[in-house]
Amino acid sequence: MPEIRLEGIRVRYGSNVVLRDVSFTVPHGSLCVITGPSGCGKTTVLRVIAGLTRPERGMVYLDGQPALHISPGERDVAMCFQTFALYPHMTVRENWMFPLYAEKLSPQEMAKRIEEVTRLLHMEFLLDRYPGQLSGGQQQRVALGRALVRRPKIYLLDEPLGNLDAKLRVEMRAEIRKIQETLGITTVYVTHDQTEAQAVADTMVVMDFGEVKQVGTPEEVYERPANLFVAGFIGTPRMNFFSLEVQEEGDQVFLVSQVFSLPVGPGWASSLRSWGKGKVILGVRPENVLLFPYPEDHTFPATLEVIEPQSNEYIFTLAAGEVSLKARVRRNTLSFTPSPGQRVWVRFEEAFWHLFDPESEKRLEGRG
Amino acid sequence: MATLVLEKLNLWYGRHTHAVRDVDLVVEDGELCVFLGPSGCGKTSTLRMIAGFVKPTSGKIYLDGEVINDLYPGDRNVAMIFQSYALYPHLTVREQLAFPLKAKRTPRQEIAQRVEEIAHFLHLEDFLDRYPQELSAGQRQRVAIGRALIRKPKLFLMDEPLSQLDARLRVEMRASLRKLQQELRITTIYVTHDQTEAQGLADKIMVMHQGRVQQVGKPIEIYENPANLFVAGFVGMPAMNFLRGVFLRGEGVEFRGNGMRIPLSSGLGERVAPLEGREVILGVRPEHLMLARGREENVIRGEVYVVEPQSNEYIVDVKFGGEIVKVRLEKREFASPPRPGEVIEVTFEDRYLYLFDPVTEKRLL
Repeated sequence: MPEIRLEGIRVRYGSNVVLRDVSFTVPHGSLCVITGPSGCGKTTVLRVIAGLTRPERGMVYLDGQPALHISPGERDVAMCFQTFALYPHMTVRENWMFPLYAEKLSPQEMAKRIEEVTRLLHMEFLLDRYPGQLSGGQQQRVALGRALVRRPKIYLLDEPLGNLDAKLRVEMRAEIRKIQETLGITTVYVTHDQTEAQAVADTMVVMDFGEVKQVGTPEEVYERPANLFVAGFIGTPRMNFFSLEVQEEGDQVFLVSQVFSLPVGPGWASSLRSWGKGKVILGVRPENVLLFPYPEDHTFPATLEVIEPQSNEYIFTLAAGEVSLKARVRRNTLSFTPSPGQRVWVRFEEAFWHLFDPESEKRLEGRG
Repeated sequence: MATLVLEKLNLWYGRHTHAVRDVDLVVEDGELCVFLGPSGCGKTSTLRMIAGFVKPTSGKIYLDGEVINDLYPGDRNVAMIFQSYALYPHLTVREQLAFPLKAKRTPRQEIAQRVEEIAHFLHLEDFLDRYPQELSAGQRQRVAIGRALIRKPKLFLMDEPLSQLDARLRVEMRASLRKLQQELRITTIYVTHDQTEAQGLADKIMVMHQGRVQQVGKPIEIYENPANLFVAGFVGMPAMNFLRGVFLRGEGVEFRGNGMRIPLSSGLGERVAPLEGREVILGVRPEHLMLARGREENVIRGEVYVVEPQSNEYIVDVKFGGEIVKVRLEKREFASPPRPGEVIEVTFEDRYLYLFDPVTEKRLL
């Protein structure tokens, strides 16, 4: 199974540059998820790997060998498109068998593959139906199955779960993860859903406006987002951002807004001093916001505006002066019964601060 | 402001489709009630009967104590807000808001005054001369609500109003809608198939399935005390784990199923004693399972099958005999990420065990 490497890929449609200097590596046998908002260029990257779109600049390497001259058919990729492109005159079973004829499999092997995919995709009772008789979600599963019955060198999957309802999506993404791990086929998977991306990826490539914003494991991308865009895109509810002034009083550094002033511990203080700018953006994820029913050290007051129960958690929308923020709290860790309009005290744990340069929007290295 | 009561409401489409069956419901003045269920469960049909678009086959709809079955939709004083908000693209916010009043031939002076009031109330004063395409999604939502509100309806009806938005915006709009509802306190019926949305928004949820009411309750009640197997599986994400098996007594009581066994705590053993030997479905939520760390009661011991990072958590699929159990664990519980093939032991507190009858699907414990 090949390693896929993209180097300096640039794609232009007319005067519109849709990919700029896209570079990343998919180690062999791993699952790489490209994620980003719609229009960020993620599907175009997939098309470049498949050989369907030729870049203006840059190179695709398969197993270290330049591959731009290799035709799509010879790259041995199985692709699942967002538009299903099923054969309307064939049943589900026939749609799945079709690519297998080309592989000259024994009838037993063919039957085994079909059975596996049927079970995986929960299509037991639908094998003899035609695409026209299936719902959107079912058609999508047929399209995915047509890729998964094959044993190519590379799987390319474009929003393979996009049309399924939430429950089925959660169930099937675990199964796709499993089948990929078992087969060890190098896979590039495109989704706009960052939840799904985190769940299935070995490596995540986060894109925006045709550029790669960060490449990393799901843990890295969540815990150490490289810039404001990634910080805001990964995680739900979204990370809270605050534009703050860096002020120094004696030895103590503070991050100051209209409504609160946060004393900074020695770790961050030294990074902020060596960085030397007066303004910074602080990011704190809703799950790292602590709430108290009374004032505590390093807290500031806020009002509970909206309370949304969510399984074993609450999602709170809080207002502190002009500032609005969200907190995600496990119900059994909360020491009070919340009600709208209630006053609470908020603390941001320094260990979970993310600081960004307001100009370059890049992450500031350092720790609390 | 009004109280809505549904009494033994039934709807047949033709002779074969019994879309809504014996629905009883009380929505108190100022409450936001969510009709929740999968597609085809009867939630939209019930809404359509309240709006007056279809006539119930039997049963009664009371609005403020008055039967409204035979009133035309236009005479019911209810306002409907649709998926796409259906704003007029060629009208400014001011004109959108004034439209329902103009249609009723309200004097110009009064129109101007009420538009000002509503705009102030919904924080739309600065946008009165803008067109819909110049507004954010949140502002458009407020205009749609304002246009409905200006007629002073007794009841708001909303059919999946957020379903067109992307995931992130939906989360934001949900909170803004909740806040607005807290301020307006207009009796509202809100239809959705999204259980996340239902939990976040509702004062009260009515869960429907196959035309029948499965449960009515506050979001936390529905989550913590599901009435039956359907509700337990539908509310919560990832869904509650269900394991089929029987309770057997040996040294202690254990639960045995497809290639797996769970030794139970003595407290639980006593509580399930009446069910010994009988087949049941055991339910436990992914978020209620925690690392066992040496505990030996209520333990599920299996092999890590799939690991999915999710923000500050891992969702771990554990192969447990012939079953897969999903577990939600905080990342900080692990020194290093769990790997497929490793053995993992998880446990649950007694109070987080649910039992269901496999035939009636009713809750047993």
